[in-house]
Amino acid sequence: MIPDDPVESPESLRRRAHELRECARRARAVAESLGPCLDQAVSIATAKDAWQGWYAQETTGRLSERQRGLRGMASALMSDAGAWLTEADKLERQADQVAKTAKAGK
Amino acid sequence: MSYTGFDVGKIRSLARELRKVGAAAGPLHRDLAKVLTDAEAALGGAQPTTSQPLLDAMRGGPPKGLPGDLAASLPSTAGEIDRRCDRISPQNGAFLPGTVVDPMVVFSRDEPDEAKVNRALDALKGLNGKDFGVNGNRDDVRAVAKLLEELTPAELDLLLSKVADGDLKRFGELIGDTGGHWYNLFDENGLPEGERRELLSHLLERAGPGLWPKLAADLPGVQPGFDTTDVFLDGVNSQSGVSTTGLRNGVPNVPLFTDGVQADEVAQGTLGDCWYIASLKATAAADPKFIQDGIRQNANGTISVRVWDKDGKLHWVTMTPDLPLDANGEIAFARSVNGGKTTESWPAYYEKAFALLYADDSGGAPDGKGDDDRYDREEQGDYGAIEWDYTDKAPPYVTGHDTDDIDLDYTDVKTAFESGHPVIVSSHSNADGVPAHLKAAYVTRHVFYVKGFKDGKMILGNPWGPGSPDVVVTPDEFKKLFEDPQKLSVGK
Repeated sequence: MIPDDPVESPESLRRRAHELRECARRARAVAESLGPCLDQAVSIATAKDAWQGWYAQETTGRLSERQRGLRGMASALMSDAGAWLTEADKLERQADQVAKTAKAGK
Repeated sequence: MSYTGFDVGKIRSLARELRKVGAAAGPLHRDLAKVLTDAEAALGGAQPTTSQPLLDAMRGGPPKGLPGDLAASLPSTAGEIDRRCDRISPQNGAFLPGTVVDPMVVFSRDEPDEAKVNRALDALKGLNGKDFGVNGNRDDVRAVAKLLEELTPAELDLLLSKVADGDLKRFGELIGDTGGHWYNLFDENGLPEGERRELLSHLLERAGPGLWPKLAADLPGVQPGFDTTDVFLDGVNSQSGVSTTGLRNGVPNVPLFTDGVQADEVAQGTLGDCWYIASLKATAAADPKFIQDGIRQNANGTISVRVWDKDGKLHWVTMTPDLPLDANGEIAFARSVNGGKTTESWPAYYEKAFALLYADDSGGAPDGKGDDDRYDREEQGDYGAIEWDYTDKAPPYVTGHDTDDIDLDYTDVKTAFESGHPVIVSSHSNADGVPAHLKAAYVTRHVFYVKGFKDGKMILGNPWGPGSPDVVVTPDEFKKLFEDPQKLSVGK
């Protein structure tokens, strides 16, 4: 019997699961570069006796603010990557289920 | 140079780091956007791609926000940091020994107003092909000059780092060309010399050291050339016999002052401007404080010297610290010499300022090269303009006052000198009648200055400086061997 509702094929579900795992891997790699990319600059800018004055304060403040932003983005990206992996697991389980159902239907 | 609370090496390493991160920011942004877009497709709408708003904004569309905007902002900040570092510690060693610029002056300054800078940039560009109308371009270039003068040092540095050479060069040419059509009385062009000098000095006093070469290259009148001088063309000073091979511009390795103004230590060097150096030495001997007060080093390392122009108007002529140096790196023209060594540079800056401002050169010199235009032509704004001239021409530029002729009389000269006036006097154009005991000291076609009187004799100093013997003459010898004594007036 052919089901009335269109169901995504196991192959498509597994392909999307694979793509999500790949995206999660790439996202973690990007996050590893993104999070600390201003750490060295902020470390120099805030070193003792590096510089003083209004311009130094403003520049260091701006760099620190961007560093926080980048770290936040990296952290969120890592969290998203975890969610994508969970979704990939779910898609694979779904693929197995669809495959089983298909077999049972013949 | 090290500064308390400022580590220039560390600050420059911050600029390098910011450029590195800025260069990586674009690719990082693209990678991030791509992975989010790919994840969105792979999720198929099953759940939000991301819970982070900043990341959510990156999916698809043009790159905006972090980290992509770092690609432009970080190199810009790095440039600003380097320009500020250049002001306290130039990378090309452009400062004189002993120069100290308070870094707080530099790092406490406000950020440049980009809109103001862009208006000035647009105004400079707008001069290209502009119809200046029948009244000439003076009002137009004056308006642009005003915009430039209103920039803070940080804004000027930003402008100079952005402006196209062609735009700045065009402005330099326009302000320097005051010629008009003879048939149009209202055709006023360029900036009058005094006004142009004020503008150039204003810019030089504010620009960072890294940008001085750009000002010198694009604006005539910033750096006096020496390649039209006899001593450069000949490779030797014809009077002293000193070689000038290898002459070049560079920052001298001696400070402005070590022991204040000492007239005796001033040495003319290889340029043929005894007529100026004699006035400088005579004035320095009579009133060292007057000369010391007439020179200052600015916060950005440039030097300003007080000079009066041909109309008697006072200017502080601002210059970069580089000077003509000889093949050994020593100051080639005027300087202070002590113990056989060059010790101070202040006379060289007085001479440089005079070369930039002197406007009475009539060309020509009694050097047998009258038919060679390379040597004998009217010049202004370079060292060639101050080679060879008349005794009374320099003093007004040094003191602000015309000289008074004195009779060629020993007693009259003594009276003037002893009443506090510097006095200069010319030698003859030939050595006829010079007694044997004066032959080693007497120099023809030269200007000497009165150093004093002793045992009924007059002591005349040679502007060549230490190593050149004084001419000590009786009243009769003075009358016979010299001419045209001039009385200078300082600070009246």
